[in-house]
Amino acid sequence: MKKFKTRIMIIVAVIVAILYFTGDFSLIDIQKTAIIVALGIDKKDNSYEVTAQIAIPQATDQSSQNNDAMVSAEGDTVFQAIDNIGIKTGWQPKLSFCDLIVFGSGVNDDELIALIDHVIASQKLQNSAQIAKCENTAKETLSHTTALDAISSFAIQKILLKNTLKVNTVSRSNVREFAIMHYSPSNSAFMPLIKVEEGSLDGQENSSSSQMTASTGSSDTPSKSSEGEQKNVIYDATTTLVFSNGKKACELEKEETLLFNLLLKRVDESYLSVETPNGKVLLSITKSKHKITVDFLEKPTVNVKLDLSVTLIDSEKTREKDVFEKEIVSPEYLKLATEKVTDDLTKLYDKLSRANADVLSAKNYVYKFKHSKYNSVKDLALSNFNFNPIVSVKSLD
Amino acid sequence: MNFERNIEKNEKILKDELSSDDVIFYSFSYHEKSCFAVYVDSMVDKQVLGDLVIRSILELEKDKTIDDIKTTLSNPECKTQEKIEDAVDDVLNGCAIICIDGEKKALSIDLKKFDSRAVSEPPTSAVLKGPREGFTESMKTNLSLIRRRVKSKDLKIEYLTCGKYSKTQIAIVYVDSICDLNIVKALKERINSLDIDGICDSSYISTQIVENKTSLFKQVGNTEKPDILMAKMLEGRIGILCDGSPIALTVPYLLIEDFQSSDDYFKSYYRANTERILRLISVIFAIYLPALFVSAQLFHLQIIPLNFLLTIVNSIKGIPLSPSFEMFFTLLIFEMLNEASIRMPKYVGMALSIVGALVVGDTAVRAGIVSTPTIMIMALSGICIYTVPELVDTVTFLRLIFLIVAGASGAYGILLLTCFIVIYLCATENFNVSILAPFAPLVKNDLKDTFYMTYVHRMDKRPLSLKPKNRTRRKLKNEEGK
Amino acid sequence: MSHTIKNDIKLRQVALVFLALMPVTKVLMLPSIVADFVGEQIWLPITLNLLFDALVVFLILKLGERYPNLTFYEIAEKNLGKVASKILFFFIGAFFFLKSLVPILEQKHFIDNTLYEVFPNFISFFPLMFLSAYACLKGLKVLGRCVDICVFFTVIGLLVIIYFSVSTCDITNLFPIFQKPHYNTVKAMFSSVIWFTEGAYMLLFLGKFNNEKNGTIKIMTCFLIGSVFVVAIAVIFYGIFGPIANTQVFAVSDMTIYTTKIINIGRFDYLAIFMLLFSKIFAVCLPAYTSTKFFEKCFSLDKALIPALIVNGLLLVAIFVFKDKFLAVLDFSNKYLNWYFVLMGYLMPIVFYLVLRRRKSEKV
Repeated sequence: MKKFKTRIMIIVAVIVAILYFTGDFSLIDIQKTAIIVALGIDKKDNSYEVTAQIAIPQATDQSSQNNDAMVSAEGDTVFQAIDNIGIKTGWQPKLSFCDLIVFGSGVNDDELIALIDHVIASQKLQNSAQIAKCENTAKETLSHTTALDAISSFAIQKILLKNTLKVNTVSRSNVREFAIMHYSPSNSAFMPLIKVEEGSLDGQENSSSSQMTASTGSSDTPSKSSEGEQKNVIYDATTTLVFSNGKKACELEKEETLLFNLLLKRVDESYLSVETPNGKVLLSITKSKHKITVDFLEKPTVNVKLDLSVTLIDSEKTREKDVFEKEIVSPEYLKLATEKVTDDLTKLYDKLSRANADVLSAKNYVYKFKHSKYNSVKDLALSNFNFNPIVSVKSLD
Repeated sequence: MNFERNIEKNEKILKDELSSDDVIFYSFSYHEKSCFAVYVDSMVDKQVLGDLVIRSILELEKDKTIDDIKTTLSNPECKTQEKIEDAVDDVLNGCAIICIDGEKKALSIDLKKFDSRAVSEPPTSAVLKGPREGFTESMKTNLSLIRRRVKSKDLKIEYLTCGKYSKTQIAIVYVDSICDLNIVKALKERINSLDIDGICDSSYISTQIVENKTSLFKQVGNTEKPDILMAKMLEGRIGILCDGSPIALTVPYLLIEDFQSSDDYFKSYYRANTERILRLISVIFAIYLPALFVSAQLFHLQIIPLNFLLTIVNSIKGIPLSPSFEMFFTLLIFEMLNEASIRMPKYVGMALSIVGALVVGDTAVRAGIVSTPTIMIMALSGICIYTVPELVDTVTFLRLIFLIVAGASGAYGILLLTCFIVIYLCATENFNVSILAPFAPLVKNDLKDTFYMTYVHRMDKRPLSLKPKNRTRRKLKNEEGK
Repeated sequence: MSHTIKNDIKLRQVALVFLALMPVTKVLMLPSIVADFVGEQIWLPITLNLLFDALVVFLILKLGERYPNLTFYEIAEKNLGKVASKILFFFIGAFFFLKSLVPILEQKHFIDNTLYEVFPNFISFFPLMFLSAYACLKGLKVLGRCVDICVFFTVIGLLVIIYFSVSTCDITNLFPIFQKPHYNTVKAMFSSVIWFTEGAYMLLFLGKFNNEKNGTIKIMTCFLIGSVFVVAIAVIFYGIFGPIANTQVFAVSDMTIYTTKIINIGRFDYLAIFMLLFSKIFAVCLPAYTSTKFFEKCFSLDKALIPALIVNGLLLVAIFVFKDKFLAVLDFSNKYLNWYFVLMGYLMPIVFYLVLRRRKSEKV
């Protein structure tokens, strides 16, 4: 028995050693792996063109930045196109690091929803990947060079991910959030629209930290772009596309996006500009609380309660020194701010209700908390709901 | 065979038995009776033999018997021997035998005198605080070190002899009122059942008294310091001292005791706990780091953060070896350097260090044979091995096994191997004590002194895992002083 | 005939089986499968199934109190006779064999899809069966000690998963409560029964541990804590995914990726997943061991070697045959096997207890 055991152990050890040293089971060498950090999906006639942005570390010296390679391929489906990328480049595409999916303007709404479904069901792509649509083709959008980062998708992710709790003029959305909203009783969702603008960083709010350059290089120097245009661009994602029932319903501009974010997410810091008799004042929103409920009176009424705490940070005309130091906002300004916010909120809701886009999740609320009434509102258009904004802007003492 | 009255016959038999040039036969006369003394030249104090023994015999009155001489001599370690075999053993043990014509017995006097090492700090158990005495190769010295520390009548020492040729003296040391006497009994049986040529070191015994002799993990504790042995005995363990070896063994053995250091109990509680956790983390790093690194590169890229992954890819570009072979090669070089540094003469130490550092650390990376992360992982793993010196052998081997399994089958293979080792350790027992105690089986009270150590003044109970007779080692006074 | 308890396993270890091994089998695919049937009411069928399990545990403990110092084999032989009890042991052995098959295939499915991309993972699962056979041969004492180790890994792993996922959880996704049809709940309970029935392990432990004061309370408390973990994971899972929960096949690896820490630093939640996988390996060995033991009793074998090799060999063959067909296995199980699980895992122990209690009362 002992001899038998020893022999078995020797055989096992030999097999394991052979496996170890040969790696003879179709392993992909790490150096032949394409680390895809972003995907751009465009529709071309009857096929999909997928542009993959691949992060490539430079081998020369340690201070060099990582660079990227843009590779495009076509296929009947997105994943077929991705496989074709592998065939084209000889690299095995690795999708676990893909944190951004950009849909080109050519991708219609049905296809977009179908693609989102596909990503949800697939284990290859992370559901935490940010999604966005772009004005032009995704390939073009990703091909630009930008001063924010050597890799364009990292620059886009900075805009989408950083400062979402501050400033908050970008409505980020990832695959999971989009799908949840789409499949919820409200059947509405949103994602940012990426626009490309030429120019430098002057006068633009941008994140200062370098997010993803893996070595010590700074992110200021615009590096080369492997394909596409050579000029520096900046990305703007302050426009939000709203979808309802799987179709694009409307677009929200920058101010509307800010208000929309205040309603949906907790905001740590944002800004509110108010016209006063003394000129424009800039208020900093330091705290915000929101609550959206639905009451059933004569008609279903969407109550939107928004409480903002603000401080005064700037004014067109000079104020007394102590007012600025204490950052107290006068009751007059608070009243004006309240009116402004209420007005903007009403306009926003009107826009959404005309487009029948229930992104404020009114029907969701009814489904969850007033389920007995849900059947009555399930197929009701949003325009049939009354709107009751309750806005309170207070000074942060 | 017994001694005979005829001294010539006795002498002839003894000369046949002890036919070695360093066995001296010294003849003298006692009142016209022939006598001789037999002793081993290098083991006996000849001055004492001559001045105190033989001279005393010569000054005695006529017709004294061996028994009379025994009572007259002022040497306390004096006995009579009737059997020649026993007399031969005594001679070889450093005694001098005196035969007198006409006597059927011989006189055996213990006059051992040979050089032994002085008590010094053992090199393998350096501490910042606490006693620095260490055991030596002399059993008597070692026993005296223990006796000085445990001045209780409950401290028992039992001698055994082991080894057909070496006839090595082995001492089992224990505190009668604390330890489990069944373990003592079992231990004595196992040592007595040893049929071996010789005992060169206590490790010969340690491999023989365990149940699983081919185990990868040690199953007998060891120490070179008397204070540690004392502490272990006071917890309920039994010590085994071996003549000729400075390393004392202790049973039963718990794996956790290798993570405990004697100076943990002398230094600050916070520092001690930090160091214990550090030791645990170090052992985990030592075993798992190379394996995880290789498996992540080969199979599980998604586990590595993107920044780090790009750094790794950056540094391995152009490396001709696969990650598994590269790590294996680097570990092999490290082990070779390690082995060479132990065996090399001191005067080439500097050259070897330079070669090792430059060749492996720098030149190999510049030449593109190995990558920097691999060197870093290997170095970190190598350093971590030595944070728990008692487990160096086991950890080194385990590290290699895990690396090979990781390279062959990835993280799941590592998991399976870990499970296998856990089952193996859970099944390993000695003297009915599991080596994974107090974790498996879980003994809550004993967890006070494992990877987390409570305050020394709160360690009022002995570890239950060792099955001590008397559990209380410290009585805490309440506010009234009771 | 009573036997002296060898104290193979401690009561504490029996209790910890339900804390260390029970939850890990239910955090992989179970939440998404149940969500498919009942959506936001995901907690209900899981809780009900756990209640059934708790009832089985409780009744078997009570049976143990009525027949102190007797193992289940002895109780069965005493009451049913040798032949009938051997038939019963065979069916119980087969039940535990099937009970170990599904977690292995589920684990394989998980590892195929989450951990490995290009690898013949069969090479990894071949050693698993050797490990399982090795564990079967080592005995209950060793498995009990392994459970003492597993509990740390399970609790820490689950707490880490919960910590990383709770911030993304929207608890309102679990509303409305009790609005789904009861039929869906029953269907969910029935379809997920292969993940439950851990109460039947008490048939193995009966008579093997010394009953202590408040032993039943200790065991039930550990069962309760384990159940709380299971329900918590399911609730958080649904809170994170809401209406798309049924598409997220592997709950434990899908839940944690949305926190900022994971997004920024990397997937170090895999450490927690590995901890849970570690415990799950033992959770796979335990039913294999139980199956081995019952077959040993059924065929009156002295040594466990042959049944251990057969059970684990068959499991290995099953992995071969079903390697890419886990969903097909689930479908088959739903149609034909789940009844068997309900029968052997729930009904048999309950009926056994009731019948024997009545018999004992009649004797008295």
